[in-house]
Amino acid sequence: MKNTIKIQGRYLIFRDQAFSLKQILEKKFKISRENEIYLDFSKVIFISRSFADELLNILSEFTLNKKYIRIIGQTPAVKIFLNIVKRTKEKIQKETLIKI
Amino acid sequence: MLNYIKNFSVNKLDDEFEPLSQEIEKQNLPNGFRQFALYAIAELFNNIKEHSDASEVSISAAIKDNNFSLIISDNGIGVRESYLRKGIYPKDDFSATQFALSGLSTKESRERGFGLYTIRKFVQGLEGVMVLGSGQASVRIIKNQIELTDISFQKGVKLIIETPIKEVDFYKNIE
Repeated sequence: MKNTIKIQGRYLIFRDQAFSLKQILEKKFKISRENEIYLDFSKVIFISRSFADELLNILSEFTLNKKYIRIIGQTPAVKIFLNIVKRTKEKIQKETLIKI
Repeated sequence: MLNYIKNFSVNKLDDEFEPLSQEIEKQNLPNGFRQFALYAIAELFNNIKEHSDASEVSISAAIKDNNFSLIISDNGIGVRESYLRKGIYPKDDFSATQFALSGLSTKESRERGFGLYTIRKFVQGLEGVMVLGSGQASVRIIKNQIELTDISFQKGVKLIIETPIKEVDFYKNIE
């Protein structure tokens, strides 16, 4: 696929790594006419909670600007983990809003 | 069997996760336990990087006789100072360590501090022991008991985990 970024690291641990990825995505969107980019996670075997948390923040930011990131090729473990972190973030956001 | 000991500069933290993880991957660990071990190391590395202001890190990971032990320490500002810098005021080192173990984050309010809290849940589920030392405080968690001990002084943070190696439902404990 044309608009695909292949992630080379096998372990994605730190928030910094997500921030670097964000910069790459921004550049890619700038030079591309598409509003959708695929992130190929097929080499990734482990992501930390911190990385997942920051990645999801970044994906939300892009979505707000009508730029869409699709993650492809994840192992089942990475996919489940990302979904759990996403669910928890949504739950916390909901609770925080209710408190306000 | 694993006996991994390393002291390194905090600047090298980014490079140190992969070799240790590869050593753990080589062990014939139950799948859920392997994920827990990697999760714990990743969370502790992130804590050091994001909150400790440390310059040096020590790590020891061992697998012997179906037991896993992990000791990670840094020479940074410690748990209490880390909270103080974010405008959270634990009255002493004991309160600070309790805050950390209960999941109070030093990050912004939309997040929670899942790191130590989740590791604690895993260790209790595995019927292991976890000791968190920082400043004057040492908190030892064994089964559902929390024991507080005065220590001479622990600069930075030192975390010790000792658990039997057994199957664990990794996803059940993750939030």
